[in-house]
Amino acid sequence: MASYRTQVRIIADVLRTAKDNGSEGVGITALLRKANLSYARLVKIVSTLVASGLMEEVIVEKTSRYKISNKGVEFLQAYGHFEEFAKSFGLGL
Amino acid sequence: MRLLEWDLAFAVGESALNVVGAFIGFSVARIARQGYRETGSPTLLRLMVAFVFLGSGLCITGLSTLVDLSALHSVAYLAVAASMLLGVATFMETAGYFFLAFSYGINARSMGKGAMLTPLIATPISAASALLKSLSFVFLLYGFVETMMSYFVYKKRQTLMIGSALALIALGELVRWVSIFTPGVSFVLLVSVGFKIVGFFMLYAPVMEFSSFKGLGEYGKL
Repeated sequence: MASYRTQVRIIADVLRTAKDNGSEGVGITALLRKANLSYARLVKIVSTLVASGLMEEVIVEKTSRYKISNKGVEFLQAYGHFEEFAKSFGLGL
Repeated sequence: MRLLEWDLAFAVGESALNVVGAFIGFSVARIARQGYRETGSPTLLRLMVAFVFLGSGLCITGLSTLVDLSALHSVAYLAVAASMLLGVATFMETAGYFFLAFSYGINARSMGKGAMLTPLIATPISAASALLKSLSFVFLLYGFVETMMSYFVYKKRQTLMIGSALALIALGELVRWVSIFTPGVSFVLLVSVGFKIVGFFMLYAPVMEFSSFKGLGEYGKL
């Protein structure tokens, strides 16, 4: 059975995918593949992340790519603390 | 007279240990609550509920010990009150252990309502108390096994400590369960509380590392 993901966990998954791609950033198609979300939902989440400064949009060869910002890295670290707390009990968030 | 002095020392000691256990329980609940508020994770919600129940249960147990001591002065209604308080505390602790085990994925529909409520309705308080203690032991054992399985996967020191803590608390519950059938043996009760408190301290040590969390709230509404 697939586990239910909270909004914050989905955001963390999107940010991690962007982080894994480093300074080059990641395209929306690659994000779609990794984040396992519908296109409409992913676009909405990515827009929110860009607006709140957790991700940066860069245009490379007329296509949008998304990079994690420093603020996004800080967010992932803070989220990671809660993840570690749950993991200490042998649980996942 | 010497018996009364011993009882007083024992009751105060046991109450103090229970209050320490309650403090640790509430501390874990506070971190889990912050985590739940920040991430909306149902796992952290269950952990928070579990430790609120455990902390409250330990608090009431400590209170019931002191009320029970007052009953030594032949005040009958205080003895009844102490017995009722202990019943409530036992129920709350078992509920706490249930939520803890539930966090590891116990099927609530098959085990929760049937196992928790039916015996309570059908049995008198003393028998229900023994039953709740044995249930607590089973829930803790389940939590211990799941935590250790997770430890063998991730090899995290904190997970090992929490697994050992759950084993000690389970041992405390087992000794407590035995004490129900050996009334008047205060030493057995003290050993039980001792196991539980050492267990709670072991639980608190790794959790303390997370007490200075930086929240996610500053990143705005996501």
